[in-house]
Amino acid sequence: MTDSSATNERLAELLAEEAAMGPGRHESSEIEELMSTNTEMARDEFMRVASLVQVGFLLGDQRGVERMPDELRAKLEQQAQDFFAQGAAAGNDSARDDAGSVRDIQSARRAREATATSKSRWLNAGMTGWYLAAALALAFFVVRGGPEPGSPAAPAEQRATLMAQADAIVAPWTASAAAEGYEDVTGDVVWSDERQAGYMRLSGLVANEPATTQYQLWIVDPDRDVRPVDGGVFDVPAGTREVIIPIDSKLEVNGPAAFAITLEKPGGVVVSDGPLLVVAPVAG
Amino acid sequence: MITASQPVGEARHPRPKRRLTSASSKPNLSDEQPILERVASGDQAAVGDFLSRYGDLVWSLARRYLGNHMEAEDAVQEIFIEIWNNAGRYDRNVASEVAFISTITRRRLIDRLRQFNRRPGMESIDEQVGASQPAVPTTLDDDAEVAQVERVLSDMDPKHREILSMSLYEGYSHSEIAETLEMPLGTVKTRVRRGLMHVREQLKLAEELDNPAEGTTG
Repeated sequence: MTDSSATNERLAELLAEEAAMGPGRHESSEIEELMSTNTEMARDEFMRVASLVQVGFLLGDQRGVERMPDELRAKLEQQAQDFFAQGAAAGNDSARDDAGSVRDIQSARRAREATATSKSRWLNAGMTGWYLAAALALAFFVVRGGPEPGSPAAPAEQRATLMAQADAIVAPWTASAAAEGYEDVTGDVVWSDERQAGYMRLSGLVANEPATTQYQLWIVDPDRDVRPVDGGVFDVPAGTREVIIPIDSKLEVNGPAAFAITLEKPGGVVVSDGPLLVVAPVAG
Repeated sequence: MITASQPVGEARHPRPKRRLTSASSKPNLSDEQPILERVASGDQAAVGDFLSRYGDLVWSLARRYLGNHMEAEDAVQEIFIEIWNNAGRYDRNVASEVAFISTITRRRLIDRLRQFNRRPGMESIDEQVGASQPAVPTTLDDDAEVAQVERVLSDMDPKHREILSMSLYEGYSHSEIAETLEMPLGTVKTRVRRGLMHVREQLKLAEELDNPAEGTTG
């Protein structure tokens, strides 16, 4: 086997793996290196084939192609309308071309993954003997299950729009080992450093009694401070299946390593003894 | 309560006889303007047409890959915003609309599955019972490339096809497939890789047969 054919074979192997599992950090560097000497294979070629295979399996699946829920379609139509209205307001196509391309989103994600590794170490250490201190006055907000009158869009729509930001991160909630009874909590946090905005989506978090307790969000940003940033207090009304809560961090947060929720007295606390109920570590 | 979705296997993939279409992998060169070009030009009506033609496809891919209704909803919203963002980049001479859309979809689904670090193909009983929508007719296999891929898959060794399906269609990691099928990890990786390479070669071959003078360029 010649050097060239061995290189091609290795490149094909890596590209096939990337198409199946997504890009790995080490493999990505090797792919880039091999591609610099190989002009026969396009980076996207295997991904395109894998995508067509995915479609092929769908069409061969006895369950068939499933109809999209009407509510989702309505949301997509609204989002498209908003999207193109923004593009028209910007007066050019450059925002569309540049703002959210696949490549931009992925490179932003890779950058986040690279920095998150060191942060996750901090997080693991920080979670032991949890001590929370708010670095600024608490932000207060209460979610009452719907948008405020006159607000431009419901939290769910605003959250979906934020997710389209190139730098948006999505971190799923996981139950903390420190507290029992929160294993069924699901949902995630969406956060954008660029927009300094985020949303928590929570299902299965038991309703609190606002007269005696409130939930409090904490944002772990070790680059800023060893103490987490207070993300505000919120209520979960009884009978609510899912709540979407805007994050109102009063401090600038960049590259958060995790988000965590505690249950506190009404109005929240500056220093919390915990325990953490659920945690959303940012992938890294 | 969490329960596994039905296992992947031969029962899932009996290949129905399909009418033969041209085996060309040539992109869309028909006179009809691709919907994405209309979307990119700001034709508002094109959004509705686009959702009608491809909405169910993207939704179904997300549902089957992520195995969770709520996550699929989020993923689909992300995917469509990305499609709107990239509509201007679509070139009908390079790829069909289905290939363009499904590639964006696939990248986003992989990202999402990795972010959530969850096992695919798992969903609650209420989701399986209540959230599934009825199957709808589709004209997607009119796409020559898709039809060709379906033929290649139907001719594939069922055991190899099962592994490819678990990996590419249902989002299982190589280790999860190895564990589920009680098979060495190396074998799984090799079969996925070879399966993909085989489909790629067959698509190239079909293109060359269809356009002998053009070779494999373009």
